[in-house]
Parts: sequence; C-alpha cells; structure tokens
Amino acid sequence: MGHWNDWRKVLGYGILGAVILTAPFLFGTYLIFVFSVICVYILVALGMNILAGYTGMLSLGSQAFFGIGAYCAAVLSTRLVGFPFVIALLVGGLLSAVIGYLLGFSALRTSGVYLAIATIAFGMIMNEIFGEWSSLTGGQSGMVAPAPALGSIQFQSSTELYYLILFVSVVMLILFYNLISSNTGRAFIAIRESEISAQSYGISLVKYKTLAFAISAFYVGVAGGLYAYLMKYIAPIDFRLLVGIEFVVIVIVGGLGSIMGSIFGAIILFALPQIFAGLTYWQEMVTGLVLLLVILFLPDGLNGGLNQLMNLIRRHSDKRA
Amino acid sequence: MLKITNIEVYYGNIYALKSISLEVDQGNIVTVLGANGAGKSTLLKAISGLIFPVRGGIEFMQERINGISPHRIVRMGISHVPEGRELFPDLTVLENLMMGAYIKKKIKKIADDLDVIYGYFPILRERKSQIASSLSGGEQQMLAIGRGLMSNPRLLLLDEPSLGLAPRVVEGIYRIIRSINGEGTTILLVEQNAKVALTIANYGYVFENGKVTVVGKSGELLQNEHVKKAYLGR
Amino acid sequence: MQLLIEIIQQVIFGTVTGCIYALVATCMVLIYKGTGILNFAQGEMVVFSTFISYTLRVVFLLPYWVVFPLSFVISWFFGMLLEALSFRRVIGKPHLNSLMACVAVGMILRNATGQIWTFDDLRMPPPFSDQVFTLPLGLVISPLFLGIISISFSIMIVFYLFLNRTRVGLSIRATAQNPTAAMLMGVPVSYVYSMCWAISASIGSIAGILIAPLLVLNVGMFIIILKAIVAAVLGGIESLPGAVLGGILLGILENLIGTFLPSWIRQIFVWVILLGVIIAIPQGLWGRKKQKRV
Repeated sequence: MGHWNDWRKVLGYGILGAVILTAPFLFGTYLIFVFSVICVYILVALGMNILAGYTGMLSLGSQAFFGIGAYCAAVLSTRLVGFPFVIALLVGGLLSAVIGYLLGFSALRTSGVYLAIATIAFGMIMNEIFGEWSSLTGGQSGMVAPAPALGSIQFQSSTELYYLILFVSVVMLILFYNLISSNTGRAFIAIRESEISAQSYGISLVKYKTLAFAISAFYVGVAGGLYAYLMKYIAPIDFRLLVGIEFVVIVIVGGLGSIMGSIFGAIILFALPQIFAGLTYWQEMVTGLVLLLVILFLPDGLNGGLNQLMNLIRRHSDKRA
Repeated sequence: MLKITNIEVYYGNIYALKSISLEVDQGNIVTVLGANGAGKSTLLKAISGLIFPVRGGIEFMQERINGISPHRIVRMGISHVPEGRELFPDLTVLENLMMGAYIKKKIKKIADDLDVIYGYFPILRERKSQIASSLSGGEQQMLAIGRGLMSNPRLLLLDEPSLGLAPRVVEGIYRIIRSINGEGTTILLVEQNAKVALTIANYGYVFENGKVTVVGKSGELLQNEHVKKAYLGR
Repeated sequence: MQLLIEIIQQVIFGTVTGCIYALVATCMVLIYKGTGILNFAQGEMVVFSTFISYTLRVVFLLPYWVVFPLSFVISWFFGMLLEALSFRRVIGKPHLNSLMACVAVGMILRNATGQIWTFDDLRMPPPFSDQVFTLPLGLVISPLFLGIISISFSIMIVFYLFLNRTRVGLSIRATAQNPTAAMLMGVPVSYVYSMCWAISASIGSIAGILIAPLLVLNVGMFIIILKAIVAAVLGGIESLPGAVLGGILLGILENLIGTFLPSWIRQIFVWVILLGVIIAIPQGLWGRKKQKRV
C-alpha cells in the first residue's frame, strides 16, 4: 500500500519538475514572466515566513529590504558593466542582512504591536531615502535596471531570465529547508511558542531574534535584486508601505510557518492582480476581502485550510477502505 | 437553593469535573475541599457561567442556569469572588466597590450598601481612594469580598479566600464571612485550607481528581479518617 | 524677534493639527485600552465618515450644526457594524490576526470610499470661516483654527468626564482592566467592546470634519492614521491624556522642524521620533512601564 503512494508522489513531483524545467518551451512569454514573478514572491514569502511564521515576529518594513536589494542590483549592474549578477544579488542580500540585523537589534526590546509599528517607521524612513538620494537611485522617478550579466554574457530574454531566477530560487529554497530543519530553525520555533520557555532552554533571544531578522532580510533582499532584473525598472513607489503589507498578506493567506504556504501565498498574491488586471480600482478591495476572510475564518491560511481539507478527505477514504 | 446534577465540565482540554452532584441549602455555609487541580475552581466557574458544562444541570432557586452568560447570572443573585481576587487593578477601592454594584440602579441603595461593607471592612473606608493594586494581600481579599457583596447576592461563591494570607488575617476574614452568613447570605466556599474552612462550614464536599469522594456535615468530615490524613494533617 | 514670531506662528499651526492628531489618537487609545486591538483602520474609518459628512453638507446642503451631530450618530452605528462584522472575532487572538484584520478592513474601506464617491480630490467647505486675520505682531490666525481647537478640546473634556465620572465610563475602564471580573459584575462585555468601537468611530468622524477643510479630502487622507499612531505611541499607548499631549506635541514639533529643515527631513522626522520612542521609551512619555506576567 505504502509503495503505491510513494510511487505516486515521486511521479507527481517528477512531472511537476519536468514541467517547470521545460516551461519556456511549453508556454508563451507572458506566462514565463508570470512564473518568474511568482518565484520572486516565493522568495519574499520564505523571508517573511522566517519572521512571522517561524519566529513569530511581525515586520511591516520588509519592503525596505526588497528595495535595498533591488537598488543594489540596479546600481551595480549599471555602474559596472558586466558585473556578475550573482555578486550583485549577494551584495544586495548581504547589505539587507546587515541592516536587518541592526533593525532586529533595535527591536529586541519590543514585541508584538510595537515591533510592527517600529518596522513601519523603518520602512517609511528607507522609502524616503530611496526617493531623496537621487544621485544614486534616480530619485522619485526611479531608475532603469540593466539585464543581469556574467562577464560578457547577458540574460536578456524572458526565457533566460526565467532560468536564472529559477536557479537562484531553487538554491535559496534548498538553503531554507536546511535552515528550518537545523537547530537554528528549531530555536526560531521555540521562540515563537514562548520566549520565556525558550530562554530557559538556553536559547539566546538576542542571538536568534537578530539572526532571524538578518536571514529574513537576506531573502527579501535577494528577491528584490531579482525583481529589479525582471521588471527592468524600479522606483520608490515599488517599495511603499502597501507593498510591505502585501508581503505579510502572502504569508498569512498562504499559511504561516510552512514552505508550501509560502508557495500558495505567492501564487495567490500574483494571481489576484492578474485576474483583476482590467479592474485595477478593485484590486485593493479584493486583496482586503481575501485577507479579512482568511483572518476571520481560516486562521491557518490557505495551507492550513488545505490541510484540513486533505485530512477530511483522507479520513473519508480510510473509512471506505 | 443550588442544585447541581451530574455535571461534566472541561477546562480547556482538561476533563476537570467528571459527573459532579452537589447541593447547597439556603442559609448554609457549604465548603468544597480538595488539593490543587481537583476541580474546585472549575466548579465555581461553571456555576457563575464562566464555563459551560457539557453535560448535566445546574439549578438555582429551581431555575436552570447552566448555559447562561455570567453577566445574567449575577442578576439572578449569585456573586462569584474568583480565585486570585481578580480586582480591577488600576481602579480605586471605591471604584471597585461601585463596579460590584453595577447591576443596581438606585444610588441611595448603593450608598447604604457601601456603609454595610465598610462596616464589615473598616480599612476599606480608610483606603477608599487608593488604587486597588497598592493594597496588601489581606486588604485586597477584603475588597474582593466586599465587591462581591455589593450586588446583594443570595448566594456568594468564594474561591480560596485564604490563599497567600497570613493566619491572623485569614482568621479575621473568616470571622467576617461567618457574620455575612449570619445576615442571610448563603455561602459556597472553596478552600485548600480544610482546617479553617471546616470551622465555619455546616456541610462539606471533598473533591479529588474531578470527583466527589467524601460528603457530609462538617462534624462528620472532621472525624473522617481519610479527610484527617489527607487534608487536616493528622 | 522675527524668529520668535515665526516660532509662535508654527506653534499655533502645530497646535491646530496637533488637536486633530490628538483626537484620532484618542480614538485609537480607547480601542487599544478597551479591546487590546491597535486599530490600523482608524484612518480609513475617519475618511469614510468624512465623506459621509461631505455628502450631508454638500449634497444635502445641511448646515454644519446639523452635520456634526448627525455624522456623529451615523458613525456610531458604523463603528458598531464594523466591530460586529469583523473585529469581534479577533479579540483575544494573537496580535498578528488583529493587526492584519485592521489592515484588511482598512483596505476594503479605502477602496469602498473611492468606489462609492470618488478617488479624486474633493474640497470640503470649512465648518468655520477660514478667513485669515493678521494680528498686530504679524501672526496669522483664523476662526477655523479657533474652531478646531475649541471643538477638539470640548470633545476631549466631555470624553474624559464620560470615562471617569459616569458609571458607563467606569464599566468601560473596568472591562479594559479585567474583562473576566467585569463579566462577573454583570457587565455585558461584548456591548462594552461594541461601544468602544462606536465611540471611536464617532469621535473620528468629528476629527475628519475638522481636518478635511485644511487639507484636501481624498481617499489618501488616511495617512493621518500613521501620524496618530506616532502621537499615541509618543504619549503612551495606554494613556488617554498621553494621547492628547502626544498629539499636540507632535503637531508642534512637526511644524517647527518643517520650518527650519528641508521638507524631506520633516517627513522622516516623524518616523525617527516613532522609532526612537519605541526603542528607548516604549511606554511613551506618559505611560507606565509594563511588566511581563509569567
């Protein structure tokens, strides 16, 4: 019996993997673009999940790291032609991580609502800086992000970008999985459950909280860099508070504390605007409604809801068998 | 006056009361004894409506009260002084007492009742403008009981009034509880300190692990071998 | 001397806007004290009620002395409705839930406001004459300013008296401190929560009528909420008098900074203050330190 299930799982994942790998040959340019964007948001969701899902800290300022990563990539690739994109992404990620670490440090004494407010303030400050530092960032009107490069090779077409983003995403996903399964990951979860208990287990709140902020910022920063390459044009408006809110929406709707949740959330957040593409005026309302309904009725997000559904189905089919 | 029939109550996920039956006659002081976690507080919460029993019935003055919200049960004449006192920490003594009188409309009656409470607990009159959290343990307990009396209850539920208090203070409070009963208020008293509880109770129940194990008049309980060993330290 | 005049002028302007911040901050602190929820949707609630007031004034041509109380009452029910539909279910849940619920409601309200009325700017006629008078020393003043300040203070005083001198107000304070005990006293706690939201919405609607003429009335005005949050935190989020003082202080500081430093610093300034207060003095200037209960 178990054998059969395993076979089905492997087959399923195998097909999925094959589809993902050969997507550019199966789908048109626009859909490839959509997949690429989803990958970016999955990375964002992973980063947000570290804070909100695993450590239980709410940050409404992550859009700032998205911006830092994006501007890093854009500026480096513009000023230094042929600059390897991997390094640009890393620089963006690491810079975000350092600033994230500092933010986490300052936030040590706060929690819950205060933390959220502090992160909002941080995000607003960074957004203002993005707009004012015109010599670097092009000011309020933004700047162009050239194609990612590796020496003389340039990744221009949507297909090339897709594989690039896919590659980075997979690497980050593997790293994420390792992180969560490690002692560090367990420490994060312990902190979410109860800070006081975690401390009595010898878990240093200082060390792990700041680490969580740093890692989260890293992920969002790298995602930001990819975003810049993908969109080819960035401006401070891309990193405003609403964006930070949407990031939190992703993980709440998708389900906190799980990788599948991150993936769901990213898909939903991107699918929604697409569905209502002709109705931009309704976008906010729909996002708000979805978020509200999830909060009120599905506190575990879609992932949780799906799990409940799966359990229900499983119990039903067990009865029959 | 109060009749509890086979109630089963969950406290969160814990099966706290496993089919309890209990009666309180008008004018009596009935005590419920038992160790920590035996379910005594859960009993009072079930009566006052903070928790609803999943099975069984609670009748007060021949009316069924299980399933009714706490703010309505107060109006029926049951006042619950919870474990840990649960005062309003940043309100003054007077404001706490006024909250006790929340269900009453007539200002004159409230003023008269205040005098009665101050009669029982003169220290509260002295401290009436002080913030509740600044009072000593004993004073807080007095305030909690006084507040519970402000609604003129027919049945007063007291949860561990002796907890954390020095023996002299406990003695004083128990003397007052006895006079409150003397004035006509029926009392259901939950206590870990069996010795002191049995000095004023007419009747007693012993809870162990959510079940009633011993029942009887207080005199009988005092003679009971099991009770003596487990709760009276003899 | 000129500098002194300028400073006094900015203090005047700052007090005016500060009063509005104080009102909105009061609304937020009331809800926070009463229900433990930090109402991120407060700004959108204010904007929504202000659009209603606009309609009453400009479409139905009702005089302001009717619009004020009518808007108050409509917003009262509006607040109760919001609480019943959404916020009721998030009381007692983790902060994340209530915060995001507020954000969600805010988004819905913002969009609904734009859909029902418009996303464009509207000009709200001022409730008092906005004629500007120049005083002897060169100070600029207007009946509008005096109107805003006096109404704001009147509301805050009435609210203070309501909360501290009436039995209903007492029950609200008691419920905020210990809802379980309040229930045992006979307080229908859910009504109290409902009332907190109702009062908050009503006071917010007045704040909206007062500020809309100063700025432009449009959907984006909810940004005020963020300033009100700063005011509330500055004053101490559990302290009502703190909210008032925080609001006025913020208004004055904001205007003073704006006069002497470039505008983008003024923008950041508010957030830097917020960050600073949260990190260094989390209980606010007038609050009390909280201890964690184990």
